[in-house]
Amino acid sequence: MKTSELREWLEDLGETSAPEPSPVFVAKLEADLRSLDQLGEAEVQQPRRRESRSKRARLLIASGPVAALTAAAAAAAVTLLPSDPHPRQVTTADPDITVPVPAPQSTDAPPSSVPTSPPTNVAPPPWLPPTAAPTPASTPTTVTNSRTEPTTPTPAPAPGPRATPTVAPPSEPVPTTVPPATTTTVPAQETLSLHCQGAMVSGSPAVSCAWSQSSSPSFAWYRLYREAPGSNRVLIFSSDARTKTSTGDTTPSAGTTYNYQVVVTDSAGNVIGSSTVSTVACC
Amino acid sequence: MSVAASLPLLVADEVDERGLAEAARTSPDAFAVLYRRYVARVHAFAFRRSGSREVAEEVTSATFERAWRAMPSFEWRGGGFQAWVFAIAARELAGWYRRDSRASSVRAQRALRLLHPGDTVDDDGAGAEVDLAVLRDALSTLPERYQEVISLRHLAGLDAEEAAAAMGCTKAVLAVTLHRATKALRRAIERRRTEQ
Repeated sequence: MKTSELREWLEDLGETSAPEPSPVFVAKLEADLRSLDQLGEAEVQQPRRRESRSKRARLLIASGPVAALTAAAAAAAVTLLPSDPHPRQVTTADPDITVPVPAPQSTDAPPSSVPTSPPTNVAPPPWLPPTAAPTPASTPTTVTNSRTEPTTPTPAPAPGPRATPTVAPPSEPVPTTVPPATTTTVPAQETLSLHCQGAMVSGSPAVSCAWSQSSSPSFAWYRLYREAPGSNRVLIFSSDARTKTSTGDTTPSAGTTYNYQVVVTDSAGNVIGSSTVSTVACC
Repeated sequence: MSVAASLPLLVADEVDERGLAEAARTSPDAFAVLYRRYVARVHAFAFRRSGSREVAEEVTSATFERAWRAMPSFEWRGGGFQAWVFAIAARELAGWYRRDSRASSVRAQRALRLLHPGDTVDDDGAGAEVDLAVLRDALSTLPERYQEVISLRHLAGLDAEEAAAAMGCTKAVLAVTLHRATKALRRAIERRRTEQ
């Protein structure tokens, strides 16, 4: 047998059409994964399989002839996250998820035991550079009345390559009564006003943001996103408290211009409203 | 309407997978996002390797179970979460074939496929399917590291860098291992042909 022939076989095998996993299987496995505890640090140092297969076998048995009704219930449970045991205020780099606020020295505890955080400032996510001391973001009184003229110091035009003509020039105060262009496709969407401003707090850069309260009946979450020119948007705050309309960002870098935007989602994660974009030259 | 569609100013769905994976160390929700992103690919990988939906589901279950349980020790390296999860899947597959009872069941399946090649998922032709069955069978006789390197490079669709990260070695070592594994596989196939 020639090597080229074998390579061809391997290519064929790699291109074999594979069926999609069944939705029942996928939903059931996800539900099962959520019920699993994690291993301790010491136990996972050995990457090879050691533990018994009994649990996995149980998963499989359950995932085989499972009734469609059960699967639908599992799928429904999955979409209703975050469930109650999870912290209410979270920080993550992904917009579609929520993440428990990491509690110091509690890594051994299962996630569900992390206590709910009070609705105050959010700890910086661990993967972001520690540019700021964990100082509470400043001066809520200066930002709560944010529907008027922004008092942002030097709201310079966003200099980044991502500045696009589709949005309002960031150097001008965004009129709070005009919905952003994006909401024209879904007229029913709610528009909030958002104002953020940066300041040096105890020598560290910080940005405080405040927005108008959502009045949507299906309100479930506020999510505040930040984007710096040339980098991905980051979810820096979310809350399920309707009256929680301000927060601080303690992780900005001085000398950077950021765009902030709040979106409102319902309990299924659908966007039902968004705010104007607030541009801050930090700080 | 997706979140991304509502945020023209902000980057669309380029999600920071590193942040996600690091959050997933302790967050079931973050892990669920990674799970949904990779479950179909891991399943397809396992199906290509095994030719069996049953095996694919079992290996996929085992892979994500192990990944979730090991998440607290996850460290972002070259290849990221993708290389890490496929490495787990490749080990699960090799381990699956190591266990005698399961392997004999696969041999039985292979025999059935050889007898009834038209019943297979792949309709490229009976001859090709027989080739693939022989190939899968021969692959399962190799040392596990050889199985893993061939699976990762040819069936999981990882490039050399990602596969090296998954195997925990340099690209040079990966190339040598892959070369030896391919030679061993060729010998195994030839042995099977002479047996037949």
